[in-house]
Amino acid sequence: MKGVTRRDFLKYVGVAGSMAFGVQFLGCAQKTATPTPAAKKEITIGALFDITGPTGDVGKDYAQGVKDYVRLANERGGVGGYTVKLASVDYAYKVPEALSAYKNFKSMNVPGIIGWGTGDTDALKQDVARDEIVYISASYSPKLTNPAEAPYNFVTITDYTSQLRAVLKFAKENSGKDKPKVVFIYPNVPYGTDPIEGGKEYAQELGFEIGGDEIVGLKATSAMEQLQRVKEFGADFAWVGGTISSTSVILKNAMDLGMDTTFMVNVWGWDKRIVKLAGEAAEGHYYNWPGVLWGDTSAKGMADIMYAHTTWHPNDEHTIHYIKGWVNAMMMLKGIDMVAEKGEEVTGAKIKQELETLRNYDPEGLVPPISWYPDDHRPSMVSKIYTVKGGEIKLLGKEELERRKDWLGK
Amino acid sequence: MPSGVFKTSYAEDMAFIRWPIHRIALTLAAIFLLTYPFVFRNNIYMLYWANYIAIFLIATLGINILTGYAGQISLGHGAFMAVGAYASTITAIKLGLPFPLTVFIGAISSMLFGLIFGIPSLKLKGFYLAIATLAAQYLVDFLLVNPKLAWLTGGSSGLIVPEASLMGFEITKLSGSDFYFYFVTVPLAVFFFIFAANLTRSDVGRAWVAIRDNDIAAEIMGINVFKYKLLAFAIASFYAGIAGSLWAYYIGYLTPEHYTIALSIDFVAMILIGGLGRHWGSLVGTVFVLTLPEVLKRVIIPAISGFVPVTFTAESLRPIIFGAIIILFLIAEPHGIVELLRKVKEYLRLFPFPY
Repeated sequence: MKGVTRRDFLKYVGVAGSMAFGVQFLGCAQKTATPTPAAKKEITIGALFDITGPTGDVGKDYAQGVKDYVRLANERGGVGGYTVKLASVDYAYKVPEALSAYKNFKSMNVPGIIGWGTGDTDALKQDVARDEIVYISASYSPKLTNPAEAPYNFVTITDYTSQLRAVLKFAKENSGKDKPKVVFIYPNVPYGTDPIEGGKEYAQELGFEIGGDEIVGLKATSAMEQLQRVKEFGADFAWVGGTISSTSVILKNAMDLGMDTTFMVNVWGWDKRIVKLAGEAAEGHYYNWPGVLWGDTSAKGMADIMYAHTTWHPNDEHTIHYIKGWVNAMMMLKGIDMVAEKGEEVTGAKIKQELETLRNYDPEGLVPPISWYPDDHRPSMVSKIYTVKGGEIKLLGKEELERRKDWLGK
Repeated sequence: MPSGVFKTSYAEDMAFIRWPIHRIALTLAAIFLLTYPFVFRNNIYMLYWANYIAIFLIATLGINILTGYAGQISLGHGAFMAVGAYASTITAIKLGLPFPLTVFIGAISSMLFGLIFGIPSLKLKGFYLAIATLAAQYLVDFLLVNPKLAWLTGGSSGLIVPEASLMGFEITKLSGSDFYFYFVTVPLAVFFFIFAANLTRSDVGRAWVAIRDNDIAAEIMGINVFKYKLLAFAIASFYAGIAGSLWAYYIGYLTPEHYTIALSIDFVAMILIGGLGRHWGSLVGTVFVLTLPEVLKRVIIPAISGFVPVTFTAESLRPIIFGAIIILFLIAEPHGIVELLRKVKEYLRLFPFPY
């Protein structure tokens, strides 16, 4: 900094400072210049996304799904006479940033928040219950389905454990063995460990022989050591509870080891990129996801998604995570609509009340029909199992479990 | 009337508040801190930020004592904070102890933990010590998520912190808890600030500065180098423990995901940007590092997103801008923002003369 004297430097700082200050006023001026169409009532809902953080690879698509649905709903005349404004925040998967955003949402008196991960959902669980704000997040943890513990949390698709139970049942039926062997491979994070206990209980009930658990971290670049043990055990099936990168590592390593185990991958552990990432190693395994694939036009709701895709951003690609976001936004807006239809003021408590009256509500075929009861927030007990055949993702089967009381929240 | 401030005694020259401007500024600061919660009585967002900054300021003051004054680099400050948070929460859950006591227990546990990791400073200096403290970080990470300790720490799913009550009043887990907690965090932050400022003016502070500048010379002068290094570690981790406990109570939920290496590095960034070895630097650095992402999110990104066609591109610029601003600040003023402010002050004092 020899060339710049202190005086010059201070001058630069002054200019930069006043420019920043000026931009502020410019922004205000622009804002006041555009008159808001006051014809319609506006309702604001909060949204927490991870776009730039560690889960941004799937979070981005989810965020796009939420935003597109809200945009579409507004384009079609809003919800129950309201224009929905989405106050979205990229919290980069950091709890303090999620809290800061939450406090801001609360100041704005939002009736509902569309959330994202396990971290923010768990951290805010008590707060939303106290402040009566409906929280629909992409964490499908079984704990969130028990209204006794999380009264204001709603999940829109079958929870993690129920998905695991469904795939276990499917595996048992299709294995042709009396006592098939199964192991559980998961990362040591809440999202990985949540379904394991309930899944194991059910596996025992079904007559599986259960091997020792293996921990494969989310950032693992090799799972050889763990898979070697799985191979020695001679597992017929292995549950994989990671995200897409760790899943592809596991699948590839398993192929290198020449294993004939069928891997059962959970809902965040795959999307259509798995075919590219794992290649041949992705073939023949079970992939969980209760909904339809992106682009499956047999579902009624896919037409709207396609419309959003072709009119607003035709050049990008989407995955099942987009549908997850889309459906979460759909159900939040459905709740607002139901309250508004009755002509009542839209509050979190009212939305909760209305959502709990839904019985077999069909979200346009995108995910299984949703029923929420006041004492049971499990949306459905259906899961679908997909597989990869010849580089293409195909539906393998559908499994429906009974709604057992002792499974609630576990 | 004298045309300046003339000191006539040594005590006056060394006084805590030396210039009239200090008196005015401190009065204004006190008024600001007192009126702030009442002005923002119903704005929990602003109250949250005051609490957030106050809590993290306590931890930053600690690491500034350790790194800025005593010259011992620590990459384990996040771990010290975690120990405080977990110790206070666990004693509150398992033993049902009251809030102030658990905060104290958290701080003491963190202090003992810090002392253990201060022992290598007997032999290690600089980067080597930094790596030794990094071990604290990894050890805590490992212990907190270990399934075998889940009965105690809650494992990877964390713990729910019980509500805090003070003199019979519940102050957390209420809709007004941001307001109530302000009267815990801010006075504590002020207290620890003054305590640290006084401490570094005492013989202890002088010993630390001597060790930082040249530990061999300090030893020759008769300073027990090891003792003072350990003392610095103890006080720094005590501060971190207080901050960790308060933070745990404030957010009401403990997860190991928060106390990672990234947090420890954030603390180092705070004191580097604010100003090493200056308590005001701790404050400025904390405010800067914590609020910059939020300012970017609320002001800069919305301002530029009109010019960037796709919204997500603007959002992804945030970490880049954040990094660039920090680098720019460090290039422009390696001694931190406090030094920059001092230069501005000097310039204004001499204005319109260049020197």
